[in-house]
Amino acid sequence: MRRSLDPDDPIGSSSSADPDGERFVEDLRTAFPAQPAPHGIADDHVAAMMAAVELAAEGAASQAGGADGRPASPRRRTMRHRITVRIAAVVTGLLLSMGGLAIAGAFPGSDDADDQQAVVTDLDENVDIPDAIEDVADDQGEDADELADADDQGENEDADENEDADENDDADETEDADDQGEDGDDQGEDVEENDADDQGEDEGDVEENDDQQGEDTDDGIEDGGDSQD
Amino acid sequence: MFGSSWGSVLEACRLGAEWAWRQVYEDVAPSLLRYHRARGTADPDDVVGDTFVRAVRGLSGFDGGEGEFRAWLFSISRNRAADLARAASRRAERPAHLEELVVAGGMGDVEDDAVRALAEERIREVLDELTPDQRDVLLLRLLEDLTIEQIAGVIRKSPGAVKALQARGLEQIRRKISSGAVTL
Repeated sequence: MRRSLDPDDPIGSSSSADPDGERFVEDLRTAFPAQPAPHGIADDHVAAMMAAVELAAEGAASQAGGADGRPASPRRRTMRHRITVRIAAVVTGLLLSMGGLAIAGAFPGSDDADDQQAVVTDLDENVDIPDAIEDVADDQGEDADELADADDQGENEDADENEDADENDDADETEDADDQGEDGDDQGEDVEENDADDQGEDEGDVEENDDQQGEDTDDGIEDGGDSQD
Repeated sequence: MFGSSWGSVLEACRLGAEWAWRQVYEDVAPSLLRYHRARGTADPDDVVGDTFVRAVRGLSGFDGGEGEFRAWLFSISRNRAADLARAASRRAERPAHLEELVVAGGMGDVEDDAVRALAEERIREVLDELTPDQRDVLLLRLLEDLTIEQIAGVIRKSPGAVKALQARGLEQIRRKISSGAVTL
C-alpha cells in the first residue's frame, strides 16, 4: 500500500503522494515490523488470559449464587460478620454510656427532690419541733433553696446538692433551742443589717440635709446680722 | 484479519474458549507490539500481555465489529502503557535481566537486524519531534490503518482534533525531512 505525507490523504490513496512521504512510511514499517511475540511470551500471555477467563467465570457464578439465594461466598460472609460485630459494638457502647449517665443522675428529672423529701421525712419522724421553729426551719430551707438557685450560675449540681445537705444538717441542729435562736438571730441580723444600712444611709442624707439647713440658717442669721449692721 | 468468521470467534471468546483467544492474540498482538515499540513504550511485551488480560475481563461490555475490537484493544493498550509509565516514573530503575536482554536483542538475521536498526534510528529522530498525541495519531493511522473515528476513540478526542493532530504531525515530519536533518 502506497503512503504519503499529504494531510488530506496520509495513506496515499491519491496519485499526488510525494516520494519522501512514501519513503518515510516504508521506513516506518521497515523499522517496526509486525512480528509475533516470542513463543514463551505468547504462551504466558494466553495462560494469563485463560486464568482471567476462569476468574471471570467464578465471579459470575458467585453473583448468580447470591441472586438465587444460595449461601453467600466466604468473603461475603466475612463482610457480613464484620458489619454485625461493628453494629453490636456501637450499640453496646451506647447502652453502657447511657446507663452510666443514668446512674450519675445526669438526666433531667433525676434531681435531688427525692433526697430532700427523704430528709424531711426523717425530720418529721425523729424530731418534735415546735410549729414556729418548723416555720423558721422551713423558711430557712426555702431561703436556702432560693439562694442555691441564685448561686446556681453554671456550677455543678453536685455542689448544690451538698449545699442542700448542709442546710438540712442545720435543720437537724434545731433540736437545740440555742441553735434555733441563733438561726433566728441570723435572719434577724440579716434583716437588721440590711435595714440598718439602708436607714443609716438615709439618716446620713437627712443629716446632710439638716446640716445644710443649719448652714442656711446660719447664713440667714449672718445675713441678718450683716443686714443689721 | 478474521473477516466473515469474526462473529463466531467473538462468540467463542465470550464463552472463554482458549482457541478463540489464542487466534485473536496471534492476530492482534504483533500490531500492538509494533505500535508500542514505535512509540517508545518501556516494556511492550508486558503491556501487550496486560492488554489482553484486561480485554478478557472487559469483553462483556464490548459490542462491535472486528475493526472496533482492534481499536478497543489499542485503546486499552495505550491506557495501560500510560499507567505503567506513571508507575515507572515513581520507582527507581533496575538493571535488566539477561533473559530480557536476549528477548530485546536481535531476531535472527544479522543483516536484517542492522538495516532495521538504522531505519529505526532515523524514524525515531523524526518521531521525537512530534508531540505524544501527534505521534500516536500518525502511528495508528500510517502503521495500523485505523480510521479517523477509530483513532478518535483510542485517544479520546474528537475526529476533528484527530485530523488536526495528523495534519500538524505530517507537516512537522515534512519540515524535518526537507531540512535535511533526517535522511530517509
